[in-house]
Amino acid sequence: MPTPRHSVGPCPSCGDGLGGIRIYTSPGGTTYPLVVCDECDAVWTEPDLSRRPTFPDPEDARSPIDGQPLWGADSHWADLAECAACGWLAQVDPTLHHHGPLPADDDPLATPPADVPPADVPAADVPPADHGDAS
Amino acid sequence: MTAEQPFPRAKRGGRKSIGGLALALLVAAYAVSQPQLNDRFGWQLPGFSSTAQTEPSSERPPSERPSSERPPAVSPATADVPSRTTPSGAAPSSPEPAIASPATSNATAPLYGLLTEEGNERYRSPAGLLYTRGSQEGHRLKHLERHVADDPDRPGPHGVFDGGMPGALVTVDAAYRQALAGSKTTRKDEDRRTVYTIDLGKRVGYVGGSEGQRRRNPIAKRVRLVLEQDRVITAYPL
Ligand SMILES: [Zn+2]
Repeated sequence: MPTPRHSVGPCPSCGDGLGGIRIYTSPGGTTYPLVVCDECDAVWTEPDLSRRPTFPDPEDARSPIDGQPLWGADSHWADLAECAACGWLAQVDPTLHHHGPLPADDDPLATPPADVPPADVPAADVPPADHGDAS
Repeated sequence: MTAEQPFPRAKRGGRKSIGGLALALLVAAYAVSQPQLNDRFGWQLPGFSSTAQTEPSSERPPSERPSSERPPAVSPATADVPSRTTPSGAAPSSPEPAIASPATSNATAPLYGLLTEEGNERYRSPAGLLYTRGSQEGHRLKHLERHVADDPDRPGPHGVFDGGMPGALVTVDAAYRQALAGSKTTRKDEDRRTVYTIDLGKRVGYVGGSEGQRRRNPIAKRVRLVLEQDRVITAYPL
């Protein structure tokens, strides 16, 4: 899926891009989130777009955390439960929700996810999810 | 059937030959002056030949269509795996590399009729821009391809170029040349990146996405161009 499901805001660097929340699974099985612009590849390690982004190698973009490919198979756009699990739910802009195949699916303005763990769970403890939308 | 029959009010008899001659002269004069009158005054006087009819706009290349036309009703690109297209429109036969050479063309044929391959999936535009591997789509050209069709479900705006990939590449080149000339251009530098916003002063596409849909798809005259030196990161109309 090329469009983030949940974004923290429009990309301040390129303008029309979405700062989407993306979940990465490290080789050890732990996971962590990044904010990545789907338009210009700008990366934030925190859900705060006022911070300075990093710009990965344009031909070989990699995560600033563990060096895995930014758009590789071990990452995907986060769903709402994952946004909550990594503690970034409060930063999600609900107006930028990209609906999946089901119109009301995963909408932050609809019913919040029931299995959301406490927001203070460390990001590294977020269980990996198999969404099959890695790109 | 005589030549006068299309004109039933013409008198017959002794003045038949004179009237016929006059009519023939009038017809000849009309045939000669009709194209000139149309050109000069913008009229649409009918001609005598069927080939003078205006070609339907739908049969013309998109890049030659009037800018006032509504945005094309193009379906959004496939959501999960953007389809790869070639200049010939042929489907690619293998998943990698991201940009496939058309099977029907030789290795030296410019991609989309414009881009020269420099090896390692790098393509150079006539204005000097470089399209390489990268982006979520795997190649910057594949990313640019997202901006030749609307994605009305996408949150926020989504700029759509007129003219398909060839039109987009030509427009981006024109924007780059204008940016280098510093004409009607704003520039923002951030680390290695340069973000140009270029006002081309004419329609180059329209604003799609959910915001564009809400605003009834306004036309776009500007181009946002994100570069790292001469390397294209992204480009879209706005
Ligand atoms: Zn961006």
